[in-house]
Amino acid sequence: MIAAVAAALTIALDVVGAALAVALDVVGAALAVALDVVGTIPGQSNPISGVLFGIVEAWNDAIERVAIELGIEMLTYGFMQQAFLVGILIAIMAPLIGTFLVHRQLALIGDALAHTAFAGVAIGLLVNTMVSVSISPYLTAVVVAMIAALAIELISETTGAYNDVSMAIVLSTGFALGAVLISLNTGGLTVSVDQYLFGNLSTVSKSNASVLIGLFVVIVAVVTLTYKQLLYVTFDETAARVAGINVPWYNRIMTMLTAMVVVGAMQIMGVILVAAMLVVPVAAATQLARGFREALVGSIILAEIAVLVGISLSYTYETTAGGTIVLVAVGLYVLAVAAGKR
Amino acid sequence: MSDPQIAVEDVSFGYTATPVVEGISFEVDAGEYVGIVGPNGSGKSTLLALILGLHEPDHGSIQLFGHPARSFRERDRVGYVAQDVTANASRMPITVREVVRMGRFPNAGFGRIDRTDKQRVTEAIETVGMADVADRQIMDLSGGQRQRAYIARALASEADLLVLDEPTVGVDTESVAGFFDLLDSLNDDRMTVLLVEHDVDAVIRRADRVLCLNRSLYFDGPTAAFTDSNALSRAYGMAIGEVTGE
Repeated sequence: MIAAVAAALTIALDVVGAALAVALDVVGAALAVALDVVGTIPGQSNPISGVLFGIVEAWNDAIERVAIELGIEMLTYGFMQQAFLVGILIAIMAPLIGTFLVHRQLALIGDALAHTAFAGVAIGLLVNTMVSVSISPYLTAVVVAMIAALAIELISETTGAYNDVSMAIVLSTGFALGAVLISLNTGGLTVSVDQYLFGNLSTVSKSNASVLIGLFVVIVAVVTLTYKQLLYVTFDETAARVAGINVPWYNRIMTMLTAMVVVGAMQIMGVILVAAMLVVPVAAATQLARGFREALVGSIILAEIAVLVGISLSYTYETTAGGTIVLVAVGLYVLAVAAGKR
Repeated sequence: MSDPQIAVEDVSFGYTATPVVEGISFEVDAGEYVGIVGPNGSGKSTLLALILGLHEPDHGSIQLFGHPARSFRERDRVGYVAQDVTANASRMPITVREVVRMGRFPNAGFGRIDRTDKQRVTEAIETVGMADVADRQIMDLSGGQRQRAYIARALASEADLLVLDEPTVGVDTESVAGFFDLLDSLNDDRMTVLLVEHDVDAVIRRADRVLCLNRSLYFDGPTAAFTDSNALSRAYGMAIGEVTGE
């Protein structure tokens, strides 16, 4: 009987292993698509990048019709249609990851990864200047942020340092590297750094929106697949280990997903403010929610409100998008605190 | 005669060169209620971590249900309750039901929590008498109620073995009695209980068998024999009455 149960469990574990392998393949494939979309003419290289680009165009067409029907001028512009698409997706994936991060007391990891992503942007700009190629700085930012995500884990594991210490080291190193590379990178490129630091609605291209859709699919798929494990690890790491969950593995998944969200959100939020989307809506929802799932859904709803209102205000009053979105989110947080039970 | 659920053989382990536990051997059979006592820093929690497969022994071997503890896969057979984790994660919004549902996670793997899983969760919540607070936030409950919820999590996984590490630390006196009553009742239903507890008196009153530890094992036997022995005074360096508060 015990042997039969053990055999059945062995098979189940093999299935789990296969599922993990598939998940990793999905991540790899999505990154390959992202690379393809960014590195080539959109929609021209393979069916998947063509589909992603097609989704952006279909979205733009739909919003255009709505804009004409309702007489909303700002939605008739392509860059605003893309900005809203990107904003809506960010407002789902940032709290989706942020809810786990905040309750693991890792709220500042987004900040650390965003600052290292800045180094990635600087590397991209430098490579473009030196080698005369056209690589999106967002692509190099994804790569550098993911390396930084692993570095944070590695520093904590190998030195026994507190997580906030390893985050501070990686944050400072990333931003310092970015600053040095930008200062080396002459030829007027410093002018464009502002868009990476503070975000810019008008620079959300169809290519960038396509990449974000790819990242969105990966993030939602991985979180859906591993929700139970991530929740267990977030709530009680030791009990999760006793339950047979590979805690270091899930910690790495979480930091890698964070790196993806950070770079995706950088387009409109900017390096300085991107972490707010991971934290502020979650902090607000925590004031109101009873359970974890409620908090997760609530934080997505609040993030959507912040993004939609923030982008609209940013367009209307010509203010920086990231800053406006964060101020709306903080306003919602204050209201949630006032209305909350704590 | 079936295999013991826990088999510890000549185990030594240390985080540094100095061993925390040394030359430990004992077995726990199905349905036993075993209490582990010893002074602070005696290696009780470390021994539990070794049994649960969280550390590799420097010497000796540990088997869980006949398999090496480190590579033991049937994790749903082991329930684990530690000191109140919610005390640290007190800002996390999570309901009792969500916590108990975690007991089904090893079973569900990457699949969905299905109707059977939900049924087991409901039954576990009812068994520990928390049906009326199942959808309340766990941090709104008392320490004793929270610990009951963690017991329910173990019940939901249909564990055969319940391992508890100082579960009553920070729990009010009235709730402690109810908590131990619940353990008695589960043990009556053939759940094996391995309890590390600072309250020696509670162990003497509740457990069938006592292990007295202070780096090495000072006593392993029935509770009655333990109270008649001088193991406790040797392990603690004082008389038994002083330790139990008599």
